[in-house]
Parts: sequence; structure tokens; C-alpha cells
Amino acid sequence: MIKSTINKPWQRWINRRHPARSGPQAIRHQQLYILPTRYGFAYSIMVLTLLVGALNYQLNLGLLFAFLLIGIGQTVMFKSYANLLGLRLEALPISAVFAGEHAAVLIHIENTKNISRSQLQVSCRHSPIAWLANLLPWETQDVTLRLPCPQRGAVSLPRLRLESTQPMALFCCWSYLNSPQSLWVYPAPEQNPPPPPIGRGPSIGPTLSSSNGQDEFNGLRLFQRGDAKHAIAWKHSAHGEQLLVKQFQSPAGQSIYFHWADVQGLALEHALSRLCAWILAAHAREQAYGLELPNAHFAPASGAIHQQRCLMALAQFTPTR
Amino acid sequence: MSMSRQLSPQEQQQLGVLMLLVCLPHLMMQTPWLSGLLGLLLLTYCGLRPQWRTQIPRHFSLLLATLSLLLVNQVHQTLIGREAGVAVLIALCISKLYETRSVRDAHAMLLLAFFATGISFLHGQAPWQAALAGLALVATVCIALRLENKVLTLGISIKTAIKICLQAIPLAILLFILFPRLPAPLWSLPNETAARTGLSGDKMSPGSLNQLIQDDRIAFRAQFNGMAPRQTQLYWRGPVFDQFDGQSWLPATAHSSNPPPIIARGPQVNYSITLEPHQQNWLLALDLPTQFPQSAMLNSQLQLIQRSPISQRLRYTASSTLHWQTLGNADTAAALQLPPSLNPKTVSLAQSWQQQAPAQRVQSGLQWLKTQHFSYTLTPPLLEKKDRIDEFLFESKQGYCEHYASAFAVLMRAANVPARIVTGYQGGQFNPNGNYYMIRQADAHAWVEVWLPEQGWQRVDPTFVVSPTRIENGFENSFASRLQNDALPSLLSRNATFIKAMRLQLDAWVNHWNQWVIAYDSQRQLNLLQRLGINDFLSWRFLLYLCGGLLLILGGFLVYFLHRNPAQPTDMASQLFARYCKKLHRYQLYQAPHETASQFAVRCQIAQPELAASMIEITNLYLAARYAQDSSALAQLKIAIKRFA
Repeated sequence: MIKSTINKPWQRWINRRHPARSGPQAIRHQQLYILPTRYGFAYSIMVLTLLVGALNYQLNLGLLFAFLLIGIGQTVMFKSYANLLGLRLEALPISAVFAGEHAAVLIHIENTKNISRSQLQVSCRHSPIAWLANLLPWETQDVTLRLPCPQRGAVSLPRLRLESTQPMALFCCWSYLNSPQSLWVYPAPEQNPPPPPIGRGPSIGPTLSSSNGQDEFNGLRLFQRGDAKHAIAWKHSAHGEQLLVKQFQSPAGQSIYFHWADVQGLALEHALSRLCAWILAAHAREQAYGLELPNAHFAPASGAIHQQRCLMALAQFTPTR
Repeated sequence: MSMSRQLSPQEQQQLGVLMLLVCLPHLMMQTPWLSGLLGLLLLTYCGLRPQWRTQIPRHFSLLLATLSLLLVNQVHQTLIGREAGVAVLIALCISKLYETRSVRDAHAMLLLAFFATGISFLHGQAPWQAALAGLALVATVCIALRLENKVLTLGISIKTAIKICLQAIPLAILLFILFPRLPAPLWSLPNETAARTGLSGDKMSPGSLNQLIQDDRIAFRAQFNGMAPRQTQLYWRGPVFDQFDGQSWLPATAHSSNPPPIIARGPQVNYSITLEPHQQNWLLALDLPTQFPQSAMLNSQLQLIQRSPISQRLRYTASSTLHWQTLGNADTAAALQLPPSLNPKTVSLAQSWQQQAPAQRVQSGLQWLKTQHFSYTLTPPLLEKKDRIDEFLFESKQGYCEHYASAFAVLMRAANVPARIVTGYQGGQFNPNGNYYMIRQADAHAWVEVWLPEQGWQRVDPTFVVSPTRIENGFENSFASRLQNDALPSLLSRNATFIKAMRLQLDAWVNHWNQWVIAYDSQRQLNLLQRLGINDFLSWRFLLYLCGGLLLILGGFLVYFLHRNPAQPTDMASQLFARYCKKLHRYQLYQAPHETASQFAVRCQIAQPELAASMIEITNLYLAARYAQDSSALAQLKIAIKRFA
């Protein structure tokens, strides 16, 4: 209770300081935090003890030594801070995964200064830490975070934390990166699903997608090398960074249909899992298949793009009442 | 990071070597067999096979700790106090080393290493000890760096460690100068019986100074304000003895009476003395002190004493007069005491002068010494008979200052002239590099004081009569050339002038070190601060200096660390291209680090077809300027980028 009341404004404050922007983000002074570690506290207590002892025994060299240790602490603090300052971070687009899998989040770390950075660790909630041992001057390296995705749907990339305790682990210096990147998580394919019912055509409408006109997104996909130039949807592409290509649907040939009705008796997630498994199986057999959901309809087709669209529809699916 | 990383065998070994270095100054000061045992434990750990080091059972270090504590208790009869406390700490450090497994343990070891180095100054603050501590500090920082970053090579980590230590110096010096010192300890120091050095205040017998003659350690340094007296007048007065038991001289039994009044018969000499700690309670002053520090007092023997033993280097100023008269009567019973029925020949010789006036008797005695072919030697034959003085005066006739002083005092007492022995130092070596005198243990001397009715106590130096060069030229010159004896201190036995000059220079540095580093106490700090206009630690001016200094240092580091070497493409073309890329940010176009200029241009053209023409132009010009070194393209690039929307 108390934790959440403190935590909420704290999170808001952090998010305000680290706005989610696309593109590489440089770490500036305002975005860098530093605190002594537990070892650092122990160090300061040790120095204090030495100081009091030297004062009492009137050992000037002991005093000088204690002051040197204070100076070392100060130098290490600056070094710790400088180790992260001015780094540029960027989270790259993340490809979709199936629920229960780990998404690989690729993060570019760019060193824009003439000093080596060392022992950088990138982490985010629920994810194991990704390490970068050394980053030479002007060098760029990637680290990969393995983000667990247990649930179907859209997952926005949690706030990333870049942290380092270099050079002597006396201080922990860290910063955050909020990224607008998000990823889709498809339903987990069911293990050993029953074979799909065969021989049913589309239950509603013609072979072309009836929902095509309502949902524009269905007709677009990401530009891929080899796509015809005339197929590029310039108008749509102008809104974002990615090129989009108009998708034309072919009439169904030798194909099977996966109907929502086939799985209606199952629980929602289970049903989606089974559909997903069917789609994957059909894709593996290079068989054309169609998908009919209460709010979306895909004419039978084959290929990676089609599979992706179908799986995306499953990922986005929300039952209508 | 709840579970800390396990250490590799190499890291454990490095920690072992570090502890060896850190414990070294402590082990050198402990009882030999205890330090041998502890040192052996450390060496064993460093030399253990890597796989064994990780398999030491946990109980072993506990056992080790218990055993070593028992040993320490055996040696010191206690576990607390300065010496024993240090031994306990070292013993525990070594036991802890044996159970060091994880990074967390290593952190504890590093803190212990810092601490142990810090308290190594309890054993002394000589320059070599400071150098050793500096070495240990760099080593500890170096190991600490390597522990956190396994990528570092040894060379780089040593270099970084030295750099970190050097960067710590400005703040350390500021704090050292300004940090308030305590005028008195917070808690009282336990009484430690440190080894006494130098002259003994307990007893003087022929042979007791013999050890000192071969000791060229500095006893004290003296600096005169104004003209220094001649070498023959540099008698530094120390312990006084007036009880003779036939063999040795003992100090006077406690007198509560005040010193006899002194009337100066010559100019006053002002000087300051930096006395090395000798763990005894007397101070040295030029014969005869008239003004001295308030902490000291002059006793009835005209000896300068202090309540507590001098356990730290002490600097004080004093004034003396070279010619004097003391008033009042001598404690004649004490000053005429002689053991009964000893040295009959001496007594009968002295009684032959009974008819003369006291001053005349002194002269007769000196004259007798002069004419009887006595010789001054550092290796006199041993005196073994019951009547030692007779044996010396009438048989061996060889000896040095103690023999002469002792014999002459007995002679005077037998002649009914009150006399006593004064020990101290005679002469000193002038160091032109620092304009001060160095007085070494080898300059220890003994002479006689006699009481004459009109003048009071006066100094008589029988050694001067026997061997005038000893006094006139100082010990070094009178002996070094004659005795090429290895037993002589090296400084005295060598004549090479450049070595002598070097040693003088070295001692001048040591003197500066002592005065400004070791003896920078609350008094000197106050003096220095007053020169800066600071009268009080609570004054705004002090805060101004402190905060100003801190800000200056921290600000300097801020600029140094955080604003150096910003991203700066080296050539003109790249700079221009960077400007162009910045303009493209408006269109949400960012060049990815892996993208070449051409690839980026293709992406930009698709995103912004209306700017495609100028993008292609700029990219081509950039490539020509950067890679084909085309200078006209550079000029065109500049214009094109300027025009670019």
C-alpha cells in the first residue's frame, strides 16, 4: 500500500525524465543517477574509523592516508559517472514471438567519446541481465536482452536500465531508457492438437476478405526486398519510418479453412492456441489455408506473410460479446 | 546481484600476494617467531595449488583464527592495546584470507587491506614507511580494479591504479592542511613500553655509551636563531648523575627543591630543537638553559625534564646562556658522596691537593691528567678490578669520555670539591642544506660539573684535556681519519665528499618531512592558517577556504572527466555530413550506426521522395570529398548542405 503510493509518483517522475523517443538516446547528466553500493558504504565506514584513529593517535601520515582514501573515493565516483555519461542507446525493433517464449531485444550501445567504457549491464523487469564487458572509444556494440513473454497480445518494451559499478564497485551508476518499441506475442501453439476439420468452406461471404474494407491494416505489410515499386503504399509509408506495401489477396485454391466455430467450445486462450497450432502445421506443409474469426477473415493463401497476418490476428483477437 | 561471483584461483592468489605486501610492515615489527609463523601462513596460501585453495574447509579458517589469537595472547599477554591489537587484526586478516571464496569476501579483504595499510603508521612514520604504504595502496587499488573488470591486463590496471591514486592527491592535501587536528587525544593511549633509545637516564657506567658511539641515528636536530656558538661550546645537556657506587653512576634521589637561580654571564642563544622520541622524560638543551617550553621544568640538578616520556617527535624552542653563575649552596653531602674504602690511590692523590683553593684543585686535577700520558680510545681494555678508578688512572690509562668523566668526578670528590656527572651530546654536524645541526647518538658525551664557591656549578670536561681534537673538531673528524674501523658509523668513517653531501641533502629532506608532514600538529596548523588570515575553525574565512578548495578540486575533476573528448568527427567532410544528418532528424530520419552513407540515402529517398534529388547530390559529394579527397566537392558539399531544407 505504502510502497505503491510512493512508487507511483516515482515512476511518473522517472518517465517524465526519460521520455520514450525513437532513435538513439544519449545519456545526459539529468538522466544519470549515482549512489554508493553497500560495499561503498562499508568503505566509507572503514575510512572514518581510520580517520578517527589517526586523529587520536596523532599520526599525520595515517590522516594523510585516510584523506587519500577519501580522494580515491571521489575519483572513483567521477570515473563511475563518466563511464556511462554520453553513451547512446537505441532499442531496435523486436520481432514477434509466441507466448511463453523469450523475445530477443537488441540494444545498440554507442560510445561517442574517446574513453573505453567497461562492464555495462542492461536489464529490464523480468529479464536476465545482459552484459557488455568492454566498449572501446567510438565503438558500437549490441547487447541482447531476453524478455520473457508469457501472455498473448501487444507487449510494450519495459523501461530498460543501464547500470555499471565500475571501476571499483564503490558506486552504482545507472540510467533508464524508455523506448516506444513494442512487440506482438502470438498465442502459444497447442502441443499435439487434434487435426483440423476438413472440407468446410467459408461460412460467410465470398472468398475475398469481407472485413478487408473495414480494417485497412490488413491490406498492408512491411516492405521487403524484392517487392515491386508500384506496390508501395506511399501515402501510408509517409506517416512512419517503415515502408508499407499493398497486399493483394488471391482467391482460394486447394485450401482448408480454420473457423472460429471449430474451436468455440474451448476456453479463449486454448482456442487461439489450437488455431495457432493449425496455422503453423499448415504452413509447415506449405498448404494454403484460410482463417475466419468473428471479426476478421483471411482468404486461403500460403507463405510467410500470410502466416504472419493470421498469427497477428490471433494475437490481437478480443472476443466480441 | 544477490549471489556474488566466485573467485578464480588466480584472483585468490593475487589477494594472497596483496595481503603479504600489506602485512609486511606489521610483521616486521612483531616478535620474530610470531611474524615468521604468520608470514609462513601467507606464503603457504599464495603457493597453494589452485584447486586446493578452493577446497579449504570453512572450519579451517576458524581454527586458524583461534590458534593465532591464542598465539598473540601468548606473546603480548593481552589482545588489546596498540601492539597486541595490530597483531590481532593481522592474524584475523590472514585467517579470513583462507576462507575467501566470493567477490564479497574479496571486498572484505580489500577493505581490511586498506585498513591494515592505514594503521601501519602506528609503527612509525619514516619516509620509507610512507613509501611502503604508498606501494600497498596502489597494489590494493590495482587488485580492486582487476576484481571488477576481468578484461583489464595487469599493466593497464597498474597504470589506472597509479592514476587514481595521483588524482586523489589534491583533495587529500587540501584536507590534510585544513582538517582540524585534535590538540589532545580523544581517549588515552595505553601505556606502551616502546624501546628506549639513546642516552640512558637510569645509570651511567664506563661502556654504557660505547653502544651509542657506533649508532649514527639522529638524536635531535637543532637550529639556531642567529649566530651559532662555536663547536667547543656545543654541550647539549642531558641526564645528570651524582651517586657513585664504585662502578656506575646513578641519578640523584628525588629532590623536591627548586633549581638554583642562574645568572647569565654572556649573550643569550636562541634555538629550536626537534627531538626524536626516546621514550624517556628528559629534554636536551644547550648548557645551560634559561628559557624552555612550559611543559618542561628544570630540576635541582639543572636538568630539563618533562612529566611524560617523549614518545613522539617533539619540537620546542629554548634559550641558553654559555657562561653563567649559579647561586645557592650545593647539596654538598650528596655531591661529595663516595663509596667508602675504594680506590685508595685516587683518594691519596686527591688529598695531596687539599691545601689549595677549590678552583686550584680542579686545575691541578686537569693538569695531572694532561701530564700522565692518557690516551683517548674507543677500544679501552676492560676494567675488572674492585678499585676501578685506580685501575684506570694508574694502570690502563686508556679510555673515552665516560672513563675520564667518571674518574675525574671521583678525583674531585676525594679532593673535597663537590662534583657530578653530566651526560648529553657534544658538538653536532652542520647541515648547510637546511641550516641546522644534526646531532647523532654517536655524539653522546659525558663531562663533569664541579661546584665552586663563587661561581656555583661549572662545567669541566676532562676529555678535552686528554684529547682536545675530540671536542674542537667533533667526534667525526678526530676519529674517522685515524681509525678506519668498520665499527664506526658509515657516515663518520667515509671521507668521500659527494657521499657526505648526498647524505646531508637526504637528511635535509628528512628534516623537512619531519617538520611539515609528521609534526604538522594543531599548533603548526594554527600558525599556517593564521598566515592565511584564519583565526578560528568556525570563522567564515575558514569555510571559504575549505569550500572554495573543495569546489575547485571537484569542479576541475568534473571538467576533466565529463567534458573531455566529446564526439568530434575528425575531418571536414564528416563534420559537414554530421550537420546534414542533424537536419534530417526533422524528418525522423536517423542514420543507424551500421548504415553507410549510401544505404542511408536510399532509405531517406524512400521516406522523403521530394528531397531525393538533393539527398543524392549531397551523398555523392560527401563520398567524393571524404574518400576521393576531392576538394572542389568539399566546397560544393558545404553549399549543398547549407541549401538543404
